[in-house]
Amino acid sequence: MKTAMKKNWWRYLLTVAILLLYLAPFYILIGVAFKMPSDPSSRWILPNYIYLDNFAKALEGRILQGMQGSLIITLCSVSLIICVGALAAYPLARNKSKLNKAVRGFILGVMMVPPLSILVPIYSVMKVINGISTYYGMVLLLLTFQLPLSIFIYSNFIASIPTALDEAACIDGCGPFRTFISIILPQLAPVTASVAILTGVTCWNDYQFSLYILQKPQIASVTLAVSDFFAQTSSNVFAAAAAALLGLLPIAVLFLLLQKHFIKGMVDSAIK
Amino acid sequence: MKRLLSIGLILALALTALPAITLGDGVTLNVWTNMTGVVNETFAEVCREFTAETGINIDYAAPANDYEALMKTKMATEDLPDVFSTHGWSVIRYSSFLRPLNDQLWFGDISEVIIPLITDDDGNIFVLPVDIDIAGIVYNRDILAEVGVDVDDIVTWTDFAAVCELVKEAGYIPVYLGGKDDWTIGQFFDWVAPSFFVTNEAENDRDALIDGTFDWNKWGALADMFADWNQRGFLNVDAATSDYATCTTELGLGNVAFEFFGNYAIVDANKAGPANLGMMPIPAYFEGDTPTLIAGERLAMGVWKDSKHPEEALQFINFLARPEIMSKLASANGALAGFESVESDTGAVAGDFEKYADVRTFPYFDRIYLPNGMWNDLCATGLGILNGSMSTEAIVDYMRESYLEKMDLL
Repeated sequence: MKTAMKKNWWRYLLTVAILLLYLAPFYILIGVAFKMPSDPSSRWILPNYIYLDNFAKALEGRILQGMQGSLIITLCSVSLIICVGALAAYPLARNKSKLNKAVRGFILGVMMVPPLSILVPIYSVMKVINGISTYYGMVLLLLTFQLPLSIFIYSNFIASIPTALDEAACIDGCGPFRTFISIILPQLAPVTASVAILTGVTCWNDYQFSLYILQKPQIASVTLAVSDFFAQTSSNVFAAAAAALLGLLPIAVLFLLLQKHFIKGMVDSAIK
Repeated sequence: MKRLLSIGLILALALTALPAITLGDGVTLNVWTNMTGVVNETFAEVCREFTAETGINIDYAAPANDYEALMKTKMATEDLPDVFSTHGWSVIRYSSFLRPLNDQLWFGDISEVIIPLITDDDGNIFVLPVDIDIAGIVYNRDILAEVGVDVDDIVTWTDFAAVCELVKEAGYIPVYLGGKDDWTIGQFFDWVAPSFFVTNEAENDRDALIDGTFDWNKWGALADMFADWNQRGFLNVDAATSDYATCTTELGLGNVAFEFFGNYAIVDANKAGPANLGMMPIPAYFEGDTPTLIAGERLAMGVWKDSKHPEEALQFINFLARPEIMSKLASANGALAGFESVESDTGAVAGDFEKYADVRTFPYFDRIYLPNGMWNDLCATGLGILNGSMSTEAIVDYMRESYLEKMDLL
């Protein structure tokens, strides 16, 4: 054991370095969130006192409203992304026709389009369907831009499930839909956790669409609520840090709950 | 369990159909401003007063830093708020989207200082100027007293540099910039450029800048002056990486003599400490020219010409034009009110406004004399000087090329 450690010391060093790199923003975030605005000390120094007024200021803002909005948007978007993604991926994975190949290529192509490059047409469509400042407008947009990822992951995973299962179901009298629901869907649990986490985090953290679509002050997302604390001449980075800390809690808890499935899904995808 | 989950999902989906909540029934106006902090809160309060009085609801939004980006998208999709602030661009950028307001009863009350800045070539005005942004250089009275300088003796940039030398020797930072917020650098050039190219009646480039014939080699003198200040240690050592918040903190703590910001910086500086701050005019570049002040829109509100509720929008504008409302909003901004007859509380600089009442005012340089989009060039070239990546020649070439391209002259 000790020899292995000695031999691989650089790997441990690299791991620690990467870990520090990832933890540094959280370290600064926590430090700033508990620091008094008049404290001129470096952001790298944790305060030796607990100052909760930043959280009070964060709560006076729109952070709770933002968390509620993000929860509704994320829940609905992820549910639809999973349902529609899995349903769309099944025929694409099983029926390897030229048309399906083209469809898969098109879906992958959509993933390459930077959403902000088509902002004006998107905004115009949202205006026509009265989607501005509504949750359904946001859900539709996130669904549109996250669906390709979901279809890509699901179709790769389904392609790795032996077709013998489908054939057996067919012999037992199942149609394609029943086969999907009864045979394929139960196999998708680990990869669904991956899709839920990857798209859920994106939906929760979305800023670009929220900024343009959620324009009325009564409707907000977590990111918009945090950005309220930043202005050209009157920013409050301390309250913003407290709001960000509150805002990342739900998604962090979700990740911790689902991480077992997430890792299994990643490993299974890699093996199969 | 599955049924519960299904019901939960259906309920959540149903929630998404909820539109934004509005208070009460009837007409709802969308009102947007670029205001932040106290002014934003005061404006929200005024909106509530309007709703209480008229029964007309207001959806008030103030997207702060994102205001300009959002407004550009809204202009592109022709979906503007019913009433919105024009942040200095009522004529050049927004006039084609706004309803002229010359027919309003208060038209004749608008201050003489602001009226040329909000009037187009046909004599139309498109906004109600709630207050007027009159700005000079913010300075620390105590530091100047300590080094034995009377602020009114600073007439030219040569005088200013001599004072900076004294301030530096006394152990203070002469000029503080926050390059991480690069607008603080762009603003320096916006403040100083008029003295080089606009304010001198005997020799100026007003017409050349507008018609595209400006000789950009002249810009080198301005770039050189900035580089010289940096080299002589008149700027904070972290000018390229500091930020606006630090600028005002240092100002409030009494460590800095001069900053090139509007009077809002005094309000922010006072949060850090009770420094004795004032406003002085911007020195001249040419011998024989006199110091000047910058004037422009601050809170100026216009009505979207295609608003579905034009009557109600005008009613709101007229509500803002009431002396007591205008005074309240102008005081929150620490600025002069948009009407001659309306008084406002201008705080620490009230005496300075009185003292410099006869000083000539000029508009923000980039708003009038540079084509749309060159603001970023002011910020970028300034940063280039600070981090040593751009020589004067490179800056002149960069500015010339950008100017000609944006004027469609390339």
